[in-house]
Amino acid sequence: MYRKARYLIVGDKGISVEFGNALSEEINRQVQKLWVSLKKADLPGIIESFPTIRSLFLYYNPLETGVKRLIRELKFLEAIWAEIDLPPSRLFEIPCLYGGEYGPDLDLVAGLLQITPEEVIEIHSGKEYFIYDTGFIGGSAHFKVSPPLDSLTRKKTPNLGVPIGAVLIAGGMGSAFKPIAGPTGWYWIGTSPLRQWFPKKDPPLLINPGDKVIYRPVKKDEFEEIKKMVNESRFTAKIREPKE
Amino acid sequence: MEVLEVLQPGALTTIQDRGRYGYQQYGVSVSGAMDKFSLRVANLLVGNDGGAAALEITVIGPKLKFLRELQIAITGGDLSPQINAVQAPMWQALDLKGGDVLSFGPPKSGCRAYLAISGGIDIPLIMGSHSTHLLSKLGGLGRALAKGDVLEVKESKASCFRLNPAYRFPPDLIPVYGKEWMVRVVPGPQSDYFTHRGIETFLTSEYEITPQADRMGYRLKGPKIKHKLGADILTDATPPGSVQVPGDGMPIILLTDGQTTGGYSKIAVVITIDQDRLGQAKPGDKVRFQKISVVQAQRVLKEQEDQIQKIKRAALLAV
Repeated sequence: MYRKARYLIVGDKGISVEFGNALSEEINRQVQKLWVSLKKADLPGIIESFPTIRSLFLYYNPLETGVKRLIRELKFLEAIWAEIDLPPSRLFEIPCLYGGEYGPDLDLVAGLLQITPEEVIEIHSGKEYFIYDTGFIGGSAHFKVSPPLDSLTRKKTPNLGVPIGAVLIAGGMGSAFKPIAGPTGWYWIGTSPLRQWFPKKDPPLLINPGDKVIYRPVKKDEFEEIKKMVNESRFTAKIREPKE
Repeated sequence: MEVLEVLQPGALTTIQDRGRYGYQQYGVSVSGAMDKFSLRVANLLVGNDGGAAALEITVIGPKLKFLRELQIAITGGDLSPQINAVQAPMWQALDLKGGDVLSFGPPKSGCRAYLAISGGIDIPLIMGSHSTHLLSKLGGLGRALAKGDVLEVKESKASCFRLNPAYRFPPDLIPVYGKEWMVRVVPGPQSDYFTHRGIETFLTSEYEITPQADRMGYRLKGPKIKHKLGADILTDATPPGSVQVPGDGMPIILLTDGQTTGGYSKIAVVITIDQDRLGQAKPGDKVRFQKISVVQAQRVLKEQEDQIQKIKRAALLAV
């Protein structure tokens, strides 16, 4: 974490407040604290703001506020946001069918890490993960994975299309499960029957920054059963009491 | 109220407005018109609010049959619009009657035309906007227009203005679109990821827009931009206009349908009004970048806004 936040100019409508240059829950919590206090402060001219892994991005209307004024106001908020407590995390249980056609890269990942596919599943599903951000397209929920999964870089040849629900890892991070089908350079190790993206609901995402997730390995028949219920809008994602 | 039927959809015709704000935290792109200036002017010329839903028409235009008397205006790129097979003027209101057919010919200049219809296209708001985001199938029709689609406009004119019948759009305000573009950029947010030579290469070289150019962004090719420490960063926000440089050193300009976050270092961000101009650039066109300060960028944005407000005051009479 930087000793002092950096204020980066991002074009004529954006400012990024950067707290560090590492994948760290401590840094991301600072980002989320500033986000909460900024929403409370309701500064003039701000169109929207959202957290990324290590910075808060603000989109503002330069016809209503100026870049210098905004940075001054943000620095003033610094005193307040250190005091803010984030709301307690909700822990979502994510059913996941690992390997085979539902996670075609599982064996590849095991090979690269020189462990068995079963060990990959055990490590991946054995931990509660804190959600840092929900960006990219359709709100992918991102978290930090633990060793040895964090040593995977991105794939050299991207997957041209992974389906909704694809559970992905790469570059030290995990994506809870894909909100929208599409190409990816990340490893596809499993599929969840849950849905993340509900464009007609407010908020449109199941899992949001500050939440936690934990995977529960499921077999094909339970996967199909949950998927059917999800498709018929009869399934409510299970929220557990966080342990960590 | 049904106003038009799509006889042929054209290459890519979508419903757009000024964009979708407040939802980037959910991974929802800004979207909206690629050239928001032309969209706003088209709307004002038919007495709509500048942000009303209109059609964005890409290179090869559609064939549309109008079902009743109304007004339209076409702005942006010149894609040879014709009404009943007779060349139709752009940048002014046109009176149509039921049965009239609007079609387009060969593209003459620019890339995207905007068609506004008096009343504004009536389509449900999704997350505060009418805009179509193609990749997530969000907003508008959730897709490009298809043959047989019928579009409606709002019945009530309550939200609209009365047009000043004597108004003529000043010809000197009609943009001229060439094939070479000088694009102004504000440096950063990751200038420190590039060597001095790399930044100089970026600011002094000519880049060509490759065929990989769509509403999400344009991939460019030209002299390689050198990184200092590597191309990848910890993912952060990638607002429209971001110029990302991946490991191959070839810049990518993200535009209005671009993803909200990304993991490549950004050498600069294209200023807002030049993002609109880039909406009229095509594969094969040449791009050069010119550095300006954020304060200068905001000044030119303010000047453009004043210009639009002036058009609005002159073209519309208060209801």
